[in-house]
Amino acid sequence: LLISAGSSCIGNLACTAKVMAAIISVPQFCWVTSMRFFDSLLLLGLLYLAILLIRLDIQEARQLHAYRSTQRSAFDIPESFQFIEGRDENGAFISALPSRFQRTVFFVIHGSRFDDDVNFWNTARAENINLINVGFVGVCDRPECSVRLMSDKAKIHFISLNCGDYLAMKALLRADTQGQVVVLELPSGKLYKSASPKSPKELSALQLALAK
Amino acid sequence: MRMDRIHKLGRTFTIMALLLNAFAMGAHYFFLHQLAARSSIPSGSTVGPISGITPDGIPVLDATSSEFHCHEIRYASIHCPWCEKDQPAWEQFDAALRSYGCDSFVLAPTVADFPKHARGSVDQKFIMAMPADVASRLDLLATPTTIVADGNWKVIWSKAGTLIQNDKKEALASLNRPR
Repeated sequence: LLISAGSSCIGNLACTAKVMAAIISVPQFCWVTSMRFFDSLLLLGLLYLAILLIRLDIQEARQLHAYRSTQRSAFDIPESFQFIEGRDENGAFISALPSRFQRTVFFVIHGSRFDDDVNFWNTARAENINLINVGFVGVCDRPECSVRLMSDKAKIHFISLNCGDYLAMKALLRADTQGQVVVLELPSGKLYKSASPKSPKELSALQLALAK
Repeated sequence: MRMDRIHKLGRTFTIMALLLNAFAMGAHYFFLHQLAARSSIPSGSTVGPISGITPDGIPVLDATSSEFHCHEIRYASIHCPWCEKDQPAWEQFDAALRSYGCDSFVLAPTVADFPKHARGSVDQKFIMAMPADVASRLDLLATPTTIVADGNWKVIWSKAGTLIQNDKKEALASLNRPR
């Protein structure tokens, strides 16, 4: 307005002087107003940026949560062995699990207590000798244990596996760290975890459950 | 008086918005860092030696790989669409690393996840089944995952997810880096 007023009074000294005086008196108001306008714009921009960032944070937090729960629950679901290599109760090589068992118990033989574990599961097998439909399958947790399992094969009265599918192995190891064994039911193929017996009493409980 | 109050309010809001941004940026950095750390196997962790059985029933022993000065591990499945998409990139990656002198191990969750006619070679082994101690050393959560390890089976580069053009260069650079 002032500029248009200034241009309209070109040549008129008095008019120009008035316009100039008006221009001089206005800037403070003008500057404050425009600064407030920019401040408001800046504030809105900052708030918009914050909203964008918070949305991104929520997305990332969800991703992280999903990843952590995957990590926690990874290998928690038991998997069946589809490809194996091992020895049967008589020490003969096998490349598939016998299908004659209605229930098969998979457990880990710990190299650190090899003799105790082998004796325990031999006893379990001996006590279930009449239950021809229940099988016991041991997997060594370390190479030294596998070597002993091979050399002492006459003393082992259960099936032992040297190798198996990655996922099934991980799931069995995971179950073992949770103090559990994996039980496979045939012909349904149902897999579940059961508390690993540590004493004759617990073994009897497992036997009872297997016999059902 | 009223203008003064508005001015003060504006200043307070601006400071709050700045603090909110700083907090949101910090959280973003934290989450990115956490996610990046989880998308790979920690460098320096031991993942081998890998032994097991090939599709032909031939045992792969620990000693079979001792002649190679680096090792590559690929965890994939034929049932995973991302693995299929990643296959050409991985083939290039694998060829580059094997020509560098590494051997490669192809692993899968189960035997049904391997290609039907998977056949290995001296420097490429398909491990259908493995002992428990080998499985316990590997924490493979997702397919596809690619790991490069040095001669002592220490991880020097890894990636969970599909490969990009730069990964081959990065992996080779990690092998050349003095340790």
